Amino acid sequence: MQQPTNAPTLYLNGLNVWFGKNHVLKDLTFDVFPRQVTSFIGPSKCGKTALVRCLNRLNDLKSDFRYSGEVQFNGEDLYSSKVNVIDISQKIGMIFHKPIPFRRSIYENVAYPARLRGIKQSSELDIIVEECLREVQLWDEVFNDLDTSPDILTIGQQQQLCIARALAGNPDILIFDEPCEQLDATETPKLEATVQHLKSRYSLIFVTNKRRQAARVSDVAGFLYNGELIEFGHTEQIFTNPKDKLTEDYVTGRLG
Amino acid sequence: MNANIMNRSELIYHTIAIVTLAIFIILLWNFTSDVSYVEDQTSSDVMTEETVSTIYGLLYRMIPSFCGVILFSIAISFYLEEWLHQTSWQYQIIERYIAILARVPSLVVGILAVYFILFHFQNITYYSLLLTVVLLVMPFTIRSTQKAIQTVDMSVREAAYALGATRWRVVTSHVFPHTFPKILAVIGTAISRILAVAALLVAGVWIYVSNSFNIPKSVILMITGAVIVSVLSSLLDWKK
Repeated sequence: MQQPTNAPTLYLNGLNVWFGKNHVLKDLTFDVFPRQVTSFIGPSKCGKTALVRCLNRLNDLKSDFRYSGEVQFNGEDLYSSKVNVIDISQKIGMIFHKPIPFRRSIYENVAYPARLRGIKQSSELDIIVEECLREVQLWDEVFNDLDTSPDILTIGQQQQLCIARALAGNPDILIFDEPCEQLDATETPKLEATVQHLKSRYSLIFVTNKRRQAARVSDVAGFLYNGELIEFGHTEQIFTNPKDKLTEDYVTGRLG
Repeated sequence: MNANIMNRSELIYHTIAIVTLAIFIILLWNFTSDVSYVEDQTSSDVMTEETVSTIYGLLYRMIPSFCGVILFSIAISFYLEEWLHQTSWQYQIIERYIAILARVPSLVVGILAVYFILFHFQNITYYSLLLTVVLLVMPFTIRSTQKAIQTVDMSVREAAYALGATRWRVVTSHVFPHTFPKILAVIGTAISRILAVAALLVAGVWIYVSNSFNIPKSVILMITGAVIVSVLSSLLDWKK
């Protein structure tokens, strides 16, 4: 395991999740530390998305969602009744597998979370929008088209825009839920470069079903299978010297 | 096994909905027949030509109520779709009421209204007209608005929630703008249904009173209006 230099941003202890009678996550325990990319790999339907949706409480939208165990974010219980879900959602940004730009201009898309935080001054919003778009290397491509709809952008650019929008919420953690699913071979490296760039400032969680991508972008990796965290450790160790037979079968392509 | 359980629970919800609806409607009709909230207190035995003008008077008075009923229906749809979980018993029961009432053809409601006004009450009350409009418009408007809301991709809502938007903000900033053209079309169709039934009502009363088939021009106007509004609303829906 990587030696933690700080307290963990996220700490999960014995997390179990059910949707109705379906036990989708079984006794997960792991830490996520700042300034590193933690990836989760596994075949489809293994519980990767259910896991990350637990972390920013999107699963609360489902009526049959139940959980047990402990999830701590910056030392506080994420599921405590005292926690403000709105604040949590702003602190834990999420990028979905499909880019979802809102039906408003590029500028307004990025300014949206800042407005939610109560920032109203246009000069302040201008700075935030420019900073966030520069962070994802999109500013040079769109600064002339800020008032136009994001429909003019390519899928890859739209995904970069969604990352910029998440950054405008001033998050501590960014969760990427299979962000390259819809991107082509030329756009994927750009997004991966953005992930590496953002690593210096945020805790990143990266969910993917592409093994090589996880090996490229992450520092720590976890292998999920049938809702169980089979192995969690250094990415290099997971891919070169896995301790579990299932993990070895998955990373070598014999499984999934 | 699961399918059987689902069917049984659906059957229970349906039965509860039908029985309570029937009791509610019977009570309501009895209540409205007792209330003599009438514009023109004429003899209850003979319908005079003043009755027709009373209908017109009531129709004008009913316009704010029409708007209220339509807006209330839209509010109920948003409440059902955005605030209630679809698996909750409250959603299931309300959904059954609406499903049953929405399947009643508008012609049946119109004939019911004419029948009750002419033969049951022998008077035109504000409440009986309002009840007709509620029965005619509310289930249809709620159902259609629900369908429009369901077309909004869940991912849009989730993207907004993930950024820290409140439920109210998600509805007003994302769901409503997406569904607005469709809601306009629903309102148009609801208005055309009201106009069509109002025309049927006036024509029915006119024929009964004057014993002739010289239908007044206003009835033709109302029917034409209904057709125009429904065509416009279908165009709105088509253009999205």
